[in-house]
Amino acid sequence: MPDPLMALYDDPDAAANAVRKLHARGVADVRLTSPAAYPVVEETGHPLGLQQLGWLALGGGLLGLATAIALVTYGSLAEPLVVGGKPVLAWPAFSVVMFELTMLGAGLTNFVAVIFFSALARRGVAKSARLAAAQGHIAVLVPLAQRSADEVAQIRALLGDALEVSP
Amino acid sequence: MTSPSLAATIDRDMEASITRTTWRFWLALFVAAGFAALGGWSWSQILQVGFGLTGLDTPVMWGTLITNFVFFIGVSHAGTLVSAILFFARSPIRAGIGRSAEAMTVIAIMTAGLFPVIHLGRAWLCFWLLPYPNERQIWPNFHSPLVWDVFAITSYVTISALFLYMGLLPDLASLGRRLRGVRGWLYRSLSLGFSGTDGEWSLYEKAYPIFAGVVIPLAVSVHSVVSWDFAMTITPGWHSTIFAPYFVAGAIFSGVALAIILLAILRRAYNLHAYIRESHFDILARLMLAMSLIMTLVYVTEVFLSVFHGERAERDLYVWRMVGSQAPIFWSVIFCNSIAPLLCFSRRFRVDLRLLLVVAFLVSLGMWIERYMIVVTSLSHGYDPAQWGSYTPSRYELMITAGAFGWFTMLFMIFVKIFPSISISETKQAQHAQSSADATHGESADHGAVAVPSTAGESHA
Repeated sequence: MPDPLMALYDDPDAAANAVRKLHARGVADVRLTSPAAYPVVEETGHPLGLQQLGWLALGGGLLGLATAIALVTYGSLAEPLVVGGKPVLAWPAFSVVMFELTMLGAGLTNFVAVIFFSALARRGVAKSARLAAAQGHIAVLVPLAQRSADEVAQIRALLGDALEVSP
Repeated sequence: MTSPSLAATIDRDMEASITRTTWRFWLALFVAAGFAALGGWSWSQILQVGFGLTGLDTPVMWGTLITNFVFFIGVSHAGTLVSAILFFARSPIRAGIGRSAEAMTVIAIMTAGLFPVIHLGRAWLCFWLLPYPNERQIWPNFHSPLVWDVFAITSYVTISALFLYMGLLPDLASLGRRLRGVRGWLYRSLSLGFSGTDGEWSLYEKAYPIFAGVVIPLAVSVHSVVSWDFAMTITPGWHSTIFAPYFVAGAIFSGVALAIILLAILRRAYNLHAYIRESHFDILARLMLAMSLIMTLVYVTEVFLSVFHGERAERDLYVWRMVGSQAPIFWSVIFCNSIAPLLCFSRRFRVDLRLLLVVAFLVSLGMWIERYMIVVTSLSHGYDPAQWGSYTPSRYELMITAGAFGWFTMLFMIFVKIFPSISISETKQAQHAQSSADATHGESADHGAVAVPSTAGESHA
């Protein structure tokens, strides 16, 4: 597979313009790397949305809650001691542990989800584009596979205001 | 648009802040480490000889050690909480102060967490705090606020550390690809492969609000739980329904004051005037002032309720605090926490850093004394006059207290030397947002974001 066309920009607005022009021209499979979360990163988008991540975090939170309920129930019934006249299973007192583990579960799941899906999201992005982002540039990438020479020339023309276009 | 030279200046300044080290840094680190070592030595003496080396005795069984625990938990409160709230408010000042505030949180919890272990006496048995059964299958008492503390603090430190780490990932990735040697390898390893692709940024932008949404209730719960260590007892001065909001407000108050002090030192030491601006301090000073007013309301409410609700022991305690032998402590708290911050009504005190530092220092001191007042004077003056007693911290406790501040400072200094103290990617983002806003409105106003001059960072103290 040939290397994708890579256009480097320093100005996020110029990069966003280029992406919009490419989309208007019907080039949908544009990728980019960026040193910061400029608005342009949302121009190409990612299939996993806030709602899906939210559901995952909710699942993690519920898992934390279930763990807490199991822990306090089993721990209290293992050797049922009455302390301070309170019932052995005192749910108001247990609510603190349940809340904390719910939040812990939600936070941990969110973190693991981001790390896992980030690894999937960076697949297929050229190393040179990653280096460009580290050096402060925004790299707009257009795959060249299955594109005719005319199409490539038109795409190059759309990326005319880039600092550098390669190959 | 964002000027390429500004983005490069941001990169260069942040890189310089971690790669260039002056003798002043080493001297300050040496002093802080010296205090930490002094505290460690004092603890070792207590471990060898026993708790008789402290000033603790019936009825005052909690003293400066627990005071330090509550104080540092309070300090930890503001960092992550303020950072998360600024994130939801889309405030441009977050780029300048968020990272340091989050680091302050994690380091303060690590410091606070030492004190329950020190206070155990037999510190080598600290693993007994963990929720697992002993040989007779008896588990920790889940009804106890002290067990709640273990869950609350471990959850908070875990999530706060991940919140800080997640914010660091883009900067670590960027630095890891630019720097060579061990430092570059370390950053690349810690960045977990983050590459700045559109998909990663998109995920990152969606996951961050969830994290911030988890952190805020967790932060509020932690200091509420710490307050219940006291409020769940029937001790006069502790058994109060207002303790949770009282502690949460006090925690934000002390945390903001300490954040002002740390940011002012950081700004001066690394010449970060373009990133941590007067407008940032202005906002923090306003927050500190608002929290001071809330604290004053709490103090008045506490005294009013205790004096007029008819509980004799409670009333006697507060009268004793105000006009008895502990009056200097009570009035120091009122001066430092309720009167001194009123100076921040004047803009001059909010933007003149030397004046603001004096106020922030007084607030930090006042909040430590307030924690001491709550812990010690309540235990000194219980229901039974025959059980009244006094407490004077021993020199070992004072050395451990000095050591805790040294430990906190040392860890913070190490953090800002290894990791960028200001978020590089967020600073660039904020700079771009401000430039776009200026271009749209045709003016250049101070929105609180960075304003990086071409000369920024050329001289590092």
